[in-house]
Amino acid sequence: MTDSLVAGPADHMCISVADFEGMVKWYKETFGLDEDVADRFEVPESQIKGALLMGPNGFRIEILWREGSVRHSGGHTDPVAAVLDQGYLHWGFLVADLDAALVRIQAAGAKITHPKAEMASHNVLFAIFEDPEGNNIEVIQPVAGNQNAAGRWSRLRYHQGVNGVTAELDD
Amino acid sequence: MSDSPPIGYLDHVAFCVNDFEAQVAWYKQAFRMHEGEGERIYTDEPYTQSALLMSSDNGLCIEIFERPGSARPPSSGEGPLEGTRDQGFHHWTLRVLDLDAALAHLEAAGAKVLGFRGDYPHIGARIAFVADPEGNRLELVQAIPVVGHDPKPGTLSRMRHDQAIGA
Repeated sequence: MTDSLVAGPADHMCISVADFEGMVKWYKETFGLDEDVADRFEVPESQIKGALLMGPNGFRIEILWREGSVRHSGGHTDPVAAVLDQGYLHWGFLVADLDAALVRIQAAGAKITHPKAEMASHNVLFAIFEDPEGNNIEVIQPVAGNQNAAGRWSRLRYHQGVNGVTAELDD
Repeated sequence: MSDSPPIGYLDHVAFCVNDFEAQVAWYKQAFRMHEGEGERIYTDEPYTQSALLMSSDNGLCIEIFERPGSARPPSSGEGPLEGTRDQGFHHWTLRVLDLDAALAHLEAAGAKVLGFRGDYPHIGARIAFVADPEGNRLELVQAIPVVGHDPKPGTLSRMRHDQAIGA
């Protein structure tokens, strides 16, 4: 096996939702995503609908809906309790300006479940919110300052933020 | 758009796991990820630990959490089709250069190959789904030439084609 098993950062995340049109609209507006009609699809025999939304930097979110789907997890009131559910816990996004992001997220009706906090050990500011159906999303702003911060994380994020997709670990 | 979207690049995906050390070791081996010094975080009340793994050559980043007393919620099945019956996170998708080679490697590492494997030329994708040792679904996608698309192909095929040719 070579180092190139995986050809880049993650391609997309997919969530299964209760309210298809509502969640498509919410993600488009809140994340500033575009939707290409060519990327809507249906699997009629299984009563499944899907849409792929793409951000300006190429990251995509897939939204699936199936007739009669149910939510097993969730209902936790905070991201610490959510760790009691094994499986996908959250996805984290880099932002250039966490305050501006939180304003937009709150205006979109999302519930902030972990307020803005600094993790100086890793040179980041972060916050956690829930989308309208309770999926946890973390937003992270890299900050400078702590020379002794855990290096790989903060440097990797810095490079991703500056360069878009290229990650160079410079140790 | 004129106002800059506040959500930028995907940084990482986080899982809560049953067997922390085993899952950390598995992702390191299966995806050639490594754990940086100082990247484990422990908290008390409630006790929780996490590790951040990353791949130095492509920006892939996974955070793995453990909390005593956690349990896996019920599911309708591990396959991608059954999984659509369960609301919430369904899968995340990684791009690979050679799907067959990636599947062989992951299967040897203990991943389970799930359904939906095949070529989908209308979206320029060769696709397979696998489950990690605890049943988390991952999709692997290799870009292939787009066939039969209209002159304005969708974002999916454009992205994958661009990636396939190294843009």
